[in-house]
Amino acid sequence: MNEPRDYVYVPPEESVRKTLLHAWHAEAGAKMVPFGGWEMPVQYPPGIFAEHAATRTAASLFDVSHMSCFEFAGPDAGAFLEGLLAGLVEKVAVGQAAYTALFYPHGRTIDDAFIYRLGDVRYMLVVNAGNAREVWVWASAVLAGDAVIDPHQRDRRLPNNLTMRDLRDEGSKGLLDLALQGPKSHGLLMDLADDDASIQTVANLERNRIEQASIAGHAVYIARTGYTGESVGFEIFVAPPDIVDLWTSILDAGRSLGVLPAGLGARDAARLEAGLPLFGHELEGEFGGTIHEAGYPWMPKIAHDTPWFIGKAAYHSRVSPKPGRHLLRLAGRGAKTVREGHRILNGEGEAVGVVTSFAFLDDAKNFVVLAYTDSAFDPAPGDIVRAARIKDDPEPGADLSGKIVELTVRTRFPKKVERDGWRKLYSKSDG
Amino acid sequence: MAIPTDRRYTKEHEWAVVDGDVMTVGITDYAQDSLGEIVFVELPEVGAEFSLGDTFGVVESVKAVSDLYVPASGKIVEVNSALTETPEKINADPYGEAWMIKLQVSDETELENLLDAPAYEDLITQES
Repeated sequence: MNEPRDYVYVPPEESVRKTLLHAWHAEAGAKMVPFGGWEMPVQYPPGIFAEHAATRTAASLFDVSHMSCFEFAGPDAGAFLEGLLAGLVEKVAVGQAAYTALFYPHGRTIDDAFIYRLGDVRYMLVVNAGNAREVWVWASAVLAGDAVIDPHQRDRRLPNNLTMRDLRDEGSKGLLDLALQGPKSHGLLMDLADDDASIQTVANLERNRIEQASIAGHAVYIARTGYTGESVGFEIFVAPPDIVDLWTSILDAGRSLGVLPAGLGARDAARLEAGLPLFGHELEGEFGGTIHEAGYPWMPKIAHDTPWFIGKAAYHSRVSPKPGRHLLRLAGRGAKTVREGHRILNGEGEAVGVVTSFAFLDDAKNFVVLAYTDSAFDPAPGDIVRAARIKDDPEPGADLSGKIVELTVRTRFPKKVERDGWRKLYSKSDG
Repeated sequence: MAIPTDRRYTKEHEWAVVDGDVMTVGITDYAQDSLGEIVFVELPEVGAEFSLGDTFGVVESVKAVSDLYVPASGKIVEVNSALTETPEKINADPYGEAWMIKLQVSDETELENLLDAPAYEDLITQES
């Protein structure tokens, strides 16, 4: 075995990829855009707001098969992932799922991800499309013992008695992800369950659990997870040859309930309304955000008595003694908005933060943004803060008239009362 | 998507009609279609001066933001301020009613950089 070497990821030149549902999207009249190296639907003919309203009032079906599902299986799978991932893998029981992340030795986040434990020694890591290849190449190098994973112990390696598979490439033994999110998703999936055991499984599935079931004639893994903030929402992991049939079966059965296919626009609206971060916006990217700043300080196991993971010390120093910024969720209304890069102002008109994501939510032009601000700037929910449509910090005394947009502070994540209100809120605006 | 032959184009998808030393500027049909439903436009004041390549404003749709670039150096002599109330006109009539600014061109040699309709058509064929 060679000496581990310092590792630098060089992204390959790649043409844009298409999911197995691409032809279906095109046939349905979707508007397609490039996203994370894939050509994906941003919206279907009903439009972003109808699709978002469907998520909140009925259910919507998202093609998330551009995301990758990586399997880690074998006697050392748990120990390997404990070193690769920042979350506490030993706490994830069989049938459980958890939010996690992975870092380079120097502390930069490679990706945020979800880890699912499918069996005693079998795990699945679901990663962002735009980071999938980088995660794969990194994890492969770590598994092979080729990469330096600890600058203070350059020959350190992780337990390696396991195999890694990209489940996209495994045919009828593979898995791809679909997301069905919204209040009517639960009943719809129970209707589509093929036998009593599957009906029971779906009926009793709790948040952040994953189980096997037979749905619409297909053996799937079904998880109660998602990226919309819906407490009732599912991800369905299905073999690639079955994905088109499962997609159309869900939509056919859901049509009378108001279930719609939904694109990236509605997905972004839902995740922002729910306060959820997106890699490249709230995590790393232009604004260099960390998991801590994004609102998940509990996730990286950086306490002294927790197991070591790659990048632990370097990441710890990024957020120690405490992060200098925090993320605010802010709401506004009207055509005059603040978009990514625009500034948040304090009472003196000084820039104290920057908008990282924006989305309109409905035809009435309600919108929501996430913004990083100095931790010292800590307005309470309900407070009004001012933002400016400028992409550089203003000079003292600069004339910002015409550039100011007022925003209402929301809780960092929506409380139950706000989430419970969505169904009614979007029933009204559902035209 | 028909591209009018009575005007010229930038690589950033503005169109320009030159009459004497006054240039009328808007965005192309391709640009409005790529942006989707336009909800907001920010335009400069009359009298503002710009150099070639400067941004003179911004147009925002439901999902995207796009800076607007002057096709040539010059001074703003007229602004279609009605557009700020009805930005959806940019979607409906990008080559007509939704013109954005009129610019007094200060250096006519810069006009040589603009694309004619066939060259612009080649550009958008490559992009799409």
